[in-house]
Amino acid sequence: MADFAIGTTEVGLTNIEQLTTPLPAPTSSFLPYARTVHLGSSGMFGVGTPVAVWSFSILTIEEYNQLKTFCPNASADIFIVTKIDDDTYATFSGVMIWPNELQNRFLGGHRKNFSVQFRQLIEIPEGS
Amino acid sequence: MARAITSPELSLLRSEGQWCKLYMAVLVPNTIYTARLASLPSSNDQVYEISYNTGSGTLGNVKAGMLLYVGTSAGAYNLGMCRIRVAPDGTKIYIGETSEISWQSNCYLTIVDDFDLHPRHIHVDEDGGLLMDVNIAYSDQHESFAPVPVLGPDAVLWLEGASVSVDFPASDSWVFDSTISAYAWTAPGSSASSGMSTATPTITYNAAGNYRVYCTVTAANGKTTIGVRNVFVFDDDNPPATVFQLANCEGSVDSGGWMFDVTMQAEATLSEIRERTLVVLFAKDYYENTEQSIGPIEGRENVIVVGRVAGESIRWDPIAGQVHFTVYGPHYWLNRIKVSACQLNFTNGSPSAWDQVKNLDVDRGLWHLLHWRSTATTVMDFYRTSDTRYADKLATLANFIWSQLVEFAGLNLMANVGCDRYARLFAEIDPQMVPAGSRTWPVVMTVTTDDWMDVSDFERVTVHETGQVNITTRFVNSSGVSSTLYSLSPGHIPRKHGEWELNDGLLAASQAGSNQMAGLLLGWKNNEFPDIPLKLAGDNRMIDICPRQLLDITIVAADTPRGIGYDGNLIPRRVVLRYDNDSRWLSVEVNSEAETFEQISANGDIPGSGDVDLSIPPLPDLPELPDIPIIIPGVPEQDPDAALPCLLHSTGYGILYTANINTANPQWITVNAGLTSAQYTKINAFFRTPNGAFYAVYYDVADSGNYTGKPFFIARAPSIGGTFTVLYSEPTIRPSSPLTGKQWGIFAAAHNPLVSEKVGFVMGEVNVSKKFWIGSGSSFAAGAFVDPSNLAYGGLSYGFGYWLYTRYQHFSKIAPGGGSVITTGSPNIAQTHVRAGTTGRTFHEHGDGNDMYIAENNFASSTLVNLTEIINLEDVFGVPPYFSSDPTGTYMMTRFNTGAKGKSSDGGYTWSPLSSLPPGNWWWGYAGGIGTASWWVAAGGSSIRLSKDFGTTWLNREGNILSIAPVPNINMVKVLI
Repeated sequence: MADFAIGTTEVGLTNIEQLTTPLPAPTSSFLPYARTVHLGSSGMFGVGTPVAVWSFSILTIEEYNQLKTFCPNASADIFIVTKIDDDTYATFSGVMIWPNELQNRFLGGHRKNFSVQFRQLIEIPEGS
Repeated sequence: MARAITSPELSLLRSEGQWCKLYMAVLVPNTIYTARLASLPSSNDQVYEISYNTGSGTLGNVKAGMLLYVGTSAGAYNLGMCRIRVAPDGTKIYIGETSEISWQSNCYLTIVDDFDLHPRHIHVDEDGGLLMDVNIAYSDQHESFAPVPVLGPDAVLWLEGASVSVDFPASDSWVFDSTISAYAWTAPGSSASSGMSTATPTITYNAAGNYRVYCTVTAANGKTTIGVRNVFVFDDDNPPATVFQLANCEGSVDSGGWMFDVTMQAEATLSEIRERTLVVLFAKDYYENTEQSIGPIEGRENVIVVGRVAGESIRWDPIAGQVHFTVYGPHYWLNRIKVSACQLNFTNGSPSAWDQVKNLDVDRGLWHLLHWRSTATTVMDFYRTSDTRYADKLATLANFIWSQLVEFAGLNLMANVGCDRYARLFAEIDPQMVPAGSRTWPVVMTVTTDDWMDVSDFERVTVHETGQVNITTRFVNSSGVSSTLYSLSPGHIPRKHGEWELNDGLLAASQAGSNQMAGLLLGWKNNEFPDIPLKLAGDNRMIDICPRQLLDITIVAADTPRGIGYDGNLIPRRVVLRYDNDSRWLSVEVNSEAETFEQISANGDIPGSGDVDLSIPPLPDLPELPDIPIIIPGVPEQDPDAALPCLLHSTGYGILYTANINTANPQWITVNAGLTSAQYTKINAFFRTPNGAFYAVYYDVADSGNYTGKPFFIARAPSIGGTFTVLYSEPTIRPSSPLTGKQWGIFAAAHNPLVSEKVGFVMGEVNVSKKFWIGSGSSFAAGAFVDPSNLAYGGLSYGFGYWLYTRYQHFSKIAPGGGSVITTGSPNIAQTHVRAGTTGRTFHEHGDGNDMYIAENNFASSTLVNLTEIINLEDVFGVPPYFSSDPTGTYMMTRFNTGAKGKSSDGGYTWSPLSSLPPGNWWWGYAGGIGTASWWVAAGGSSIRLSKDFGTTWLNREGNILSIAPVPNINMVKVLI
């Protein structure tokens, strides 16, 4: 079982595979900076807070609604445990961004290729 | 002050992944006292005190400068707001004079601890006297100055443990002509404190809230000023506003300060962000995942911008739940405080009115505006220029305090007034106008290609926009006397390209300083890189528009699309902070101009003078012309409002000067600096050359028996009121072996009024070395031998192309260069003479007394005017002549007949008594104008009179003379026209 977790509080973090309606482990990506900019030296410079994206290849309506409980509006303050660059997991507070798309994009009771984004991630040191 | 970034800080600014979270502290002032209006003022107009009842709270906690809400319900301010002027007593609340409140019976009065910028209006009392802020009469406020508290900016703290502390560094507090002697801090609501009677207290809080910190700063002269700053304390349970969008956060030298736009979500209610609410934008910054803010002021690094809400930008959107408003720094608010025009005048004595300031300079003018015309010195830090150039006067017709500050600083010093992000006010000479050697402010950082984003695209100005700078400056000496200086850069020939840049009225410390300013201005105006924009990737809040600071940069040509490089310092002129809410990334854009340097310069030309002798050249070979009537050259009518500087000599107090005798109450000052009382009490001649140099002479002669009692001298000051340097004195002239009967001395002195500075005098030992000396500044040379006789006393003047030296029964007509004596003669004349302007006509007392010689063309001819009455042009040698003539030699005054006062309007041929003058011993001076409308000054003893109708009537112009010279004993007068 993977270690992806989500919760509205730090103490309420729950492995997503152990939620009331368990979710499958997502394919995750993690960007240590919100964006990169070009420097005068021709190099790149990462700025801003980390960004994580959870991508689900397929979700049932129940799973989709389970995820939606954490972000009933366009965005919500959230706590997550997600995989970072070195293939380990870390805990973050941040903002969960629900995709701005038309509703009811279900096919046969399933939602394919669904992604949610977590921005303004602030790492919570282990044991804090 | 600005500071350089440290190496660890620079590493953090260049570290990736930095971000910050913005917060906004909104001041919700504490209610200090409440009451109800006891009785309506008799009018809503000019209300400055109100009676109250049903007071609640501690009256002793109410301080001047707090805000009074006036409303129709408890705590409301719907009827208006005004300032508490002085602390209330048991029945009355004293407020800043206001006409904008519509008082209602029994309305609610709420005093809150919000200290804002307010005007302090001038009040005119029933006698027409000026009172400041309702009832403050002038006593000594412009001589014994109140201090300026510099306490540091407002602070924002985050309570994470049991308590949190803040320091207030106040050691930059200052006062003119004194020192700060004490600090007394109070911090209501604090849980602990230390050092509360020092310049560096530490104040501790253990609960969230917003607090005021007060510091009474006392100067050694006994004056005090109270300063107030705000402290916001937040904790996790009492957080500041955080859900908002920031836009247009920028500061610029042009605007004078900072502003930002905010779109705020439901966290802020309308009642919290009323108009002019104080707002502090601040941040928690993270570098390398560690919370740490980097800023120029220790303990305030988290503060981004301090300002107040402009009420008119509030837009409440009940659907979206947002409110939009703009926050402006103090520059904006000072530019909306309307006040009356302001003029301040220099005095080196004790000021007697609000419009006089002792040793006036620009800083004192700015201080007056901030301290006496507003409440600024209480609510914000003010850093002065520390420039010491005196100003004879500072005047502005601008209607707003900010405009007045800008005019005082800009027009006189080329200084900027500006507010930094922390709402501190700085008055500073523009960096480009400071000589390179004095540019001691810090280089904040060296900007490298690792700091800026993308590429920098900037323009290079290759064709000079300014071809020549031509400035007229004024040097004001320690007596407040102004002289005009002229400077050019690069010189008389402009550069190949560019317009003229004319500037008039700057203060200069010297001719060299004036030239330096011209050179600096030319360099600045032709800045090759007037705008270099840089986008910095780091969360860098070390750079600001003030105080003065530099960035160092090397832009390699290959790094720019135009292939233009630059290696040198940059001066920030505009700073923009951009915040991306999504990424929480704060970036900085800086527009700077390249540092420029002084260009070559030269002395400018004195209008109407120059170094060309404009007098009529001598025509020695032409036959003598027949007598022709005097043709009056274009003597202009006197301007009725003319400012007429005037000089007197007092045998007790030396030279007395007023900048304008054409005023009902002339202010006389002494201008003897550099001379001993033994010298200045004996002065019997003085004159100002067209370039403003001022000469004082005690001409007299000595011999072996009396020279210790004859300290004769000739001295020069760079201007009236400047410090005299003695050029020659008795010991330097004394022969090595003085002989009885062989007199030596300074026999006469004069100047050529048609040349900027050319002074002649006759000096030496009779029949041995009595020569005509000529020169200027400190450079004089002996010319022709004069008058080879043992007779001594004489007089000298210049006109019609020659110098004329006279003594008893002798004249010498001397070449304009002083190298030869052209003609001599032996008319029966007395020692001295007086010349009509620069004509060839001179007036001489008859050698046997009473009658008068009128000589033409430097004694080419002369006429003896026989008068039946006694007339005196002079008395004994060494006493200044009484006589004065208009420039045409037609209208004149001197001692005549009974009463010893008379005038002539026909060139001296007939005389009439001046019966309109009271009895006395008078000296006269022509003061401009034509004929019977000509102006004259008569002075003698303790009397000073001005006539504007050729002596028909006289106006008393004694002014403050008796306070300067209690027993004036005036014996000379000269009006500077």
